[in-house]
Amino acid sequence: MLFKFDQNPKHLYHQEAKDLLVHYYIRMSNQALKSKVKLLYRTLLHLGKDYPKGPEYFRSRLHAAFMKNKDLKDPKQIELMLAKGNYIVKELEALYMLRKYRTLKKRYYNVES
Amino acid sequence: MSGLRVLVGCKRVIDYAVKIRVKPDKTGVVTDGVKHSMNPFDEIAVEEAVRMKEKKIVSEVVAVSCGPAQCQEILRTAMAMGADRAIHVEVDAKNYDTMLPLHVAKILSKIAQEEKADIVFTGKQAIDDDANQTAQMVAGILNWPQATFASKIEKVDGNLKVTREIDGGLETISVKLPAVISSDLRLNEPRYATLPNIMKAKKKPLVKKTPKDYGVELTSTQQVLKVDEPLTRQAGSKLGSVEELVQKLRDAGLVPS
Repeated sequence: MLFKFDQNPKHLYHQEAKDLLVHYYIRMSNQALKSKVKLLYRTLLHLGKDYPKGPEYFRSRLHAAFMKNKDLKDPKQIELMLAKGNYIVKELEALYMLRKYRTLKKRYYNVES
Repeated sequence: MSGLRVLVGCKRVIDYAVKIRVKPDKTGVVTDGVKHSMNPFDEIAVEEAVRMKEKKIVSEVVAVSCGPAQCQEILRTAMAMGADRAIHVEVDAKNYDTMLPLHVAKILSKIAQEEKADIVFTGKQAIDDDANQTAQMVAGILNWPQATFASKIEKVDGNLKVTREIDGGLETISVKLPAVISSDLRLNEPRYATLPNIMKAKKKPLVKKTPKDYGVELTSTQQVLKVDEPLTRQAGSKLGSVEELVQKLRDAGLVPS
């Protein structure tokens, strides 16, 4: 049955309002997410300045990675990508720290176990 | 809050990852257009001071740097890591070339007295001149106890219990405050100065001073005669057989003939 003729018109309004609300909810949360995405991009760009292969190497790849997901609309998926990006931020920080530590250790502490 | 104040020395040096080049006239190394950053050992000192603040052992962390105007970027980094305020002692490029650890130590001592610091914290040495003198000289000038090459710091009954890295092991000492500490590599793992924190650090106070404000004359007692590249490692060669290798080892006197 395609149409429910006996459907309460009040119920229909309700459904419409609900759809509208969901629509707005997604738009609002996407807008809130937009600033998060921008902050993530800026943070990664900043981290890229110290990248061993050079900032331009990092920037081009970073840009490509973000562009690949530019059509994502689902807030859940965007959140997932944000989490992935923030994970990379932590990894990069750890990488730089370790690289510096190892270089210094090699230069200043030659007798090591 | 305990009310203790820490003064941390932060030197601006050529970034550790940069390949150092000697100037053709052998008067020094090329610094123009080269990436600079905070001396890694000083970074460790800043980190430790900030951690002490987080543990409420100290209440204020003041970062100090002596050198040209660009040192302010280093101080911003220190403040992004968690230092509360900064003092920049501006030294122009010409005088900075002949500035010695003794001058820095005199300035740091004077600031420590003026700011009523309880701890002066520096890196054990800077990765550019590798002098390893500043902390020791500050302790000498102020007549404060020193705990150099610290790899662990705890506060025990108003004193600091410091584990020091010494040849072939560790030494644990207790120092009364006020004291001078210098950090070793294994003391901690410095945090990264994040972008939002760098932005916030721009609002933290930074005071500009000159060596004259602290009554220090930058007269140099030494002169750089020559700066040379380290010797390059000699290239190896590929050998065809074991006999050849044994012959070479014999020639070098490494195996009995």
